Amino acid sequence: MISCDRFDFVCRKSYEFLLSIGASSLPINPFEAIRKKHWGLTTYTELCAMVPGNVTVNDIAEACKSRDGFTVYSGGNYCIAYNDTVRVRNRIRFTLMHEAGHIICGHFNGGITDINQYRELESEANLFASNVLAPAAVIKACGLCTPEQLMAACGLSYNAAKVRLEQIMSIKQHPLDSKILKAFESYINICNRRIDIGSADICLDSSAV
Amino acid sequence: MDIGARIKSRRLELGMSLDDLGKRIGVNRSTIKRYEDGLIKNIPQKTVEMLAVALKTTPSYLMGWDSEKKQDDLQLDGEILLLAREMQKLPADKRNLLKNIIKTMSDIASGESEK
Repeated sequence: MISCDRFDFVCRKSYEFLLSIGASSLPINPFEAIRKKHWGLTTYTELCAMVPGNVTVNDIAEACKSRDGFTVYSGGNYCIAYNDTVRVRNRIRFTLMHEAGHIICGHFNGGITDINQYRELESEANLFASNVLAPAAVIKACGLCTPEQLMAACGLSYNAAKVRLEQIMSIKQHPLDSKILKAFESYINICNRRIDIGSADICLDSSAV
Repeated sequence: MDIGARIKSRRLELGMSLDDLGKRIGVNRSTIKRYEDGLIKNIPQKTVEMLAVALKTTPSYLMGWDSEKKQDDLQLDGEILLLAREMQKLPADKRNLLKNIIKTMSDIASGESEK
């Protein structure tokens, strides 16, 4: 469970992250975001080829205790590794922004000493990833209100989109909302126009019946 | 040097207060003080492991079985930090693999930051 203070902190960090990478439309490109932050990025398959010995993707996942991805912090620099054999591309997108969440939210400052703290940090990284891939202010402004719309716009899986929609309902206004809305202004306008046209299509279909 | 002196020395090296260390392992400052002063002789194994993670060293170093102070030259992320406590339990081949992975990724990270 994330405390209110930490919830606000993570929301702020996710918006600052979006602004820092110059995001202005959805879906967010996690690969581009990582490149702009000058973080290293590699795949489990690449690691298999780079580390000595006959290593498989399963070996990497077992040694690092993660099927999806992990981050190494060294000398002030970061490198994210993700499992490229995962078939669901949207899961990879979420994993990459989850790892970015660990970095941006300062989870490398100080060690983890118990499982509860570990779970909290994981929840924070998940919240960060959700808010980067589906920023609450933008979703509301675009009037996206079904899981299917969120899936198509943000590149989320159906379940992630469903959970995110419920979460968005409970998110209050944030001081950085106006900056985010400004950055996404053109996208929001286009999105709203499309939804209008979509509604008109539905009306036409109804009248035809 | 006994375990108490090693805990104190490492804590001071990292600039941590008794409170800082206590919070990290979930005990109060007076318990840490008693560990350091040798008033608690048999520190539970689980607590030694937690102290080692918090002090960025190994249980072997704290116990005096190993003179190598640092756990690793690298700081690791959340998943790996949790794992670090369990690293001693990993089979030797997996432990070596993990070190090679960290070394490889560390090189990638420093190369990327220079771009």
